Amino acid sequence: MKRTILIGAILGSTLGAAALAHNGATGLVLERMNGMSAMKKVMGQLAPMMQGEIPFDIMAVQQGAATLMAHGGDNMTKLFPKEDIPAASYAVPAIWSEWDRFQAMAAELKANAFGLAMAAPNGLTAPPTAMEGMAGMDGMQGMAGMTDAVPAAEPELSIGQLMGVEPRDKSVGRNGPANTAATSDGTPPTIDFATMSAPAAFEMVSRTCASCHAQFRRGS
Amino acid sequence: MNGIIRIGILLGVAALVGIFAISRWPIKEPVALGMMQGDARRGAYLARSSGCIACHTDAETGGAALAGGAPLKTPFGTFVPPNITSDPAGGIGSWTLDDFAVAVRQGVRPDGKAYYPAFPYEFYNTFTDQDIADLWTAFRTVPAVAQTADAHSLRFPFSQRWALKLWRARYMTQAELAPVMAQSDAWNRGQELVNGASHCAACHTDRGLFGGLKTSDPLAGNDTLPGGSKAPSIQTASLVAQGWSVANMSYALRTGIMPDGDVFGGSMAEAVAAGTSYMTDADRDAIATYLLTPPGQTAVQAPAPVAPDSEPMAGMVMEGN
Repeated sequence: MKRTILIGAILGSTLGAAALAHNGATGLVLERMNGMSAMKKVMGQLAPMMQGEIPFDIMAVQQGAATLMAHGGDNMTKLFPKEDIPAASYAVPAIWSEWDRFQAMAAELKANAFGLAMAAPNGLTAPPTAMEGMAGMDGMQGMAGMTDAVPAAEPELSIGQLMGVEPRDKSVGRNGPANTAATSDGTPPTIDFATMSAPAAFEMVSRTCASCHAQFRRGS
Repeated sequence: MNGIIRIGILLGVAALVGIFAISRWPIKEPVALGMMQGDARRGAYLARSSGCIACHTDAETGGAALAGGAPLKTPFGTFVPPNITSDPAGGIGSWTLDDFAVAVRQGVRPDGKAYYPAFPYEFYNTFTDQDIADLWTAFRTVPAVAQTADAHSLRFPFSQRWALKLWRARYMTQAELAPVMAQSDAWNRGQELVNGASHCAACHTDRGLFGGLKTSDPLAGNDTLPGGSKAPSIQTASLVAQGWSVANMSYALRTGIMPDGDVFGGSMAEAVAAGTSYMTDADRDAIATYLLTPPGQTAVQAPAPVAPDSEPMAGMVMEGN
């Protein structure tokens, strides 16, 4: 009997702690908070790797990317049926009033996470293009694709980029993708993740997180 | 009865005379930069670090650079950041460099009226003459856009611009920079950015009923930001307790990713996307160095060890972002 009570108490307190940790959320709200937590964990684990603070692990990056993909796209949006927002939730009404936008961001998260998995084998630096590879034959530049290299320095921004007149996307983060030029018919540029460094792809993921949080998360 | 009416009229007249007197009260201090030459790139970097582009460009709707920003909803009403391109009618094309200097450093329009402190001129008074000339030169590189931003839409009594002169007399707190020889270059540069150009306190210091900064408790956080966003405390002790270091803060200012893996939302997402992500690594390190050095000390405080997942859902409980 005592043991049952003890087990009950342990179970109860564990469940209680879990519920408290999620602000008392239940049901779908709890489910999406768990999803967000899982993604937060991935981002927290990969960030030091992307900064060169801990050894780069292609497999870990791809596993992380798979987790992000699993929580993005339709898997995310299906957790947000239109309903009254409970107090425990940090969702904002704009999710439903601007559903297309929210849906697009969830899809973008999934796509960028897939891109991260593709870019993972490149490690911290983008692989040299054919031309750069030639030029680097006699120097250390030929080593640019090595996964344990130090992240390259940020190229200096132009006056136009600083003033907001020109887009900065030419150099998405460090070692941006090789081909982001807009196509002539105005369709969005193709992003070639295979030519991108893992940190650049990782930062594309974080930019999606930030835009979505800024628009659709209450508080901050 | 006649007496009461007479007193009423007298009071009314006195009020009108008072308002008239206040509206004539000169607040502009003369400057004479003349034709001082500026460096466009340096000015562009300063404009970016100071939030000029973030606030005066409506990036979300694809607005042209500096042609007017997204409306800012506050408890006082809605402020609309104006067009500051060199269009003579819609923008600031008819201004002189001296007009610009007075506007940026003193918060006074060319017509002598005061700006609302939604324009954080209180922080820009730290700019040198050269900074102003550089900014001006950089602004002139941006294509003019012939559009006039909507007027602010403020509640009474905040809609009374003349009253800003009283506000200035009572609440205006101009930033002060005090270079400290014993501190590193990074700390001093950090002070310049945090307390001046990058105006961290505009959001991270609480404000009183009339929008004055609570300078008695600087950078202690503010729960009522425009748009319903919240700014946490960024005092050294709070930051250190949450595991911030120079390296991870510098990284967060570039990417938005916090040490626990959460990603900034709210206004900070924009501050990073349109501001700190454009800065040099050295400047982001400097901001972190300044913020993480306890007052009166010269060494950065090491972050408190944060056990993994000791703060589940830190983002959701809105700590650390």
